[in-house]
Amino acid sequence: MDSWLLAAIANGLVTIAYVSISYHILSGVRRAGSLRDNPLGTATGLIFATCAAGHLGHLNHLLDPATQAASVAVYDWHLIWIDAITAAIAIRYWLLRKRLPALVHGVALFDDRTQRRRQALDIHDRIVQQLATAKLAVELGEVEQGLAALERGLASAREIVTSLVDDETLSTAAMVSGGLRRESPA
Amino acid sequence: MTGTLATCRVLLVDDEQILRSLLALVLRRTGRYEVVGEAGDGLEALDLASEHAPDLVLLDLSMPRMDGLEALPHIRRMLPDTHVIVLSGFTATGAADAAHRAGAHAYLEKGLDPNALMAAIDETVARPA
Repeated sequence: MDSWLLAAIANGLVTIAYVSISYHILSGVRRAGSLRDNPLGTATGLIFATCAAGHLGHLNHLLDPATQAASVAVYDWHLIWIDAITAAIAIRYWLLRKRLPALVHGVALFDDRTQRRRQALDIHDRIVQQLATAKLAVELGEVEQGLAALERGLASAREIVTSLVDDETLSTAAMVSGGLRRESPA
Repeated sequence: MTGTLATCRVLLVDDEQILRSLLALVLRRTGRYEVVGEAGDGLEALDLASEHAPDLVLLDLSMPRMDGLEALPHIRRMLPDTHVIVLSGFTATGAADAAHRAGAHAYLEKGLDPNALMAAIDETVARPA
């Protein structure tokens, strides 16, 4: 078999695998409704798409009679090996496509952290502050102000916990019989 | 102010109005501190700091419009002789480092009892700014 044909096959396989991987990632991010909120996931899908376009270009140059001679001259065994290894990795990656939803979730980790940070700040601003105020008020004998702060803290805690539990993922996981069982007593 | 004889003029900066009034009460009870202004965010704090030139600023971190870490360097540049104590609901670990880097003289966690709070404030203002 001609060496250029091996390179063409490798580039063809890489193109197909990358297009499929890109589709799986981007459709997963889109289904999650987070194309804008999960820039890392979106970028990962787009990188696979652009790499697929690059390898499709190589394939086209190898097959197009107008550019074939020049491409074959460039394609030494070194490049063919790299393309062959890339094809093997791409196919392996594609075979793991069932796990891509985990990847989609995984690349959203940075966004999850941002979301957790926002929630932590919300808890700080609306609960910790009120508890600290209530504690100081009680220590100063200002019981009414302490109770008012406790009321606000309690209302905020209810709001925050409700909004967190209303999250679709958490609600399906937790709002079932036994889903709210604690690890240890409060 | 580096001694304890003169009255220490304090600017309270916290978006929680009740907490400000309680802190004012704690400070006044000592007889050594006078609250000259109360601000609900960093921008208001800068205005009042410029107007009153307090000896001490008790500064919250998490606030609307301008937070404590944003306001702190401005206050330090504007009033280099003023002590700034950050009083925050965050545990000291990372927040304290950030506050010290921004120029705070001390970092106190909210929730201290009044005696411990005053002891920490007294100790801080007794040091040179």
